[in-house]
Amino acid sequence: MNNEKNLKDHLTNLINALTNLSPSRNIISQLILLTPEDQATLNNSFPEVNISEFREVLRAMGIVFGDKIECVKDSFAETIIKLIDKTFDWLDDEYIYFYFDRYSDIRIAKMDNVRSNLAKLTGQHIDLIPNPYLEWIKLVIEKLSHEYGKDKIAKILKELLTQLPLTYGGHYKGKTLQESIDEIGAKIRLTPSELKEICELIIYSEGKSEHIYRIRYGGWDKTTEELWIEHSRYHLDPLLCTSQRYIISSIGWTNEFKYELRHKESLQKVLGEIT
Amino acid sequence: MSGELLENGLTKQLSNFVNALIAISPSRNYVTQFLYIIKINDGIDYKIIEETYPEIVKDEYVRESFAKAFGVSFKDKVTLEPRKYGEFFVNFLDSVLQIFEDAEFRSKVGFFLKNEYPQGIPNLAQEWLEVRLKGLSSEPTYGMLALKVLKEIVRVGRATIEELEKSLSMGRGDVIETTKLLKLYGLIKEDLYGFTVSESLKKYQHLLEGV
Repeated sequence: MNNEKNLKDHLTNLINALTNLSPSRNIISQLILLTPEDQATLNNSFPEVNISEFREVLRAMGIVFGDKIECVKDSFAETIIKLIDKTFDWLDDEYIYFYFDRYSDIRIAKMDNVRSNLAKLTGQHIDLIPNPYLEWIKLVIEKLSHEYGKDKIAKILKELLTQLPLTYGGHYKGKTLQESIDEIGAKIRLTPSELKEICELIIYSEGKSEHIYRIRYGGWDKTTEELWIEHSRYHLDPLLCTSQRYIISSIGWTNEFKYELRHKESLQKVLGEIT
Repeated sequence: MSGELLENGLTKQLSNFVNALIAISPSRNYVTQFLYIIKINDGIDYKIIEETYPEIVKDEYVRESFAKAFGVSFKDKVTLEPRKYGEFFVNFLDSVLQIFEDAEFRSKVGFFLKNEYPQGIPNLAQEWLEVRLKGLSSEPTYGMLALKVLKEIVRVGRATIEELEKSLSMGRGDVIETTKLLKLYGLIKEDLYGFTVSESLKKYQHLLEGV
């Protein structure tokens, strides 16, 4: 129907448009991504919000203004947040999906050759394919380095990269995620409030998990397996959590958790740049 | 920052945001169009999609890279693989078409972008329908015949293959081929009682008169 230009041009346009919708390139996406947020905080970071005609545009996209500025459920604004999250993962080779194998067992996999395939299709070097996640994490780390000190932020990233993956509960006697994070805080000498703030901003934020799947196996122990991505306030979302619930005869039901690190390469690149 | 500077900066940002959304519309981008056509048909026969989008399907190297990048399965039927980015993205496109169909959204954005869009922000849902009608009319073999069938379905509201054969004095083979084409373009849908016009065409029936 529409093939006047060649495939390479159309694909490049599509990737560029998706990149332009990411928060590193656009304050509208940035503002939407950071909701829900106190009205005063957002007004301070985005004085544009005070322009009444702009508020009307945001309202039309499903943003509501109260004590907090937030997205209406299933609104266009909420869909933009999902697009940003998924495009972050897609263009950083971290897109997670599940499928059923030939025995109908659930399996998890990653779309991990996206960048190289897009490079082949557009005829560009892989490094020239935009990476909105990497652009965004650089901005976030720069901002946090100003607020908390470059040294502290670098150490947190380094500890994350060395301490994960971690497994605890069930047959494992390891540290819990919170214990590991507390340990990082103590090592770097962060105050408890600093640690809580930084953790919420870049590691994980309570109640912001994105559930990927839940499956019940019908064996004698009725195991349940669940998988979710932990979202943080700035949507860096480095944690992928798998939990398994099963019976240990001596103690009854138990939950085993495994946390793995996502976006490892990009985190390493940023760490390399700031150190 | 002064009010004027702030507003100028905002206009640029909004222009960047809106132009990115417009650029990914199926009416403007060949790749998006390919993925969206698969979605609205819930999968398409390989032969048909190969003829319609040869740049993506014909060459094995391109086809395989495309399949891996977006999550498209090229078997006898071409489908979007469940839970991969391509499937997520086409669902996002539904939301884009929907918000650009909203006159209130267009007028509020248009307030800032009147220099860039003096005719107003485009209604992408309508534009997508226009592209499909234009594409249909330029189909070399069955295009004009398909338009005739489409106009008849619009006129009567619902029609079976037999009814179309009779009312248009067409052979059964031609009716089958043209309705296949109309379904591919998402202009009609079929149920147990025959063919009816798609929701998008129902809303903008006047566009058919101009084709």
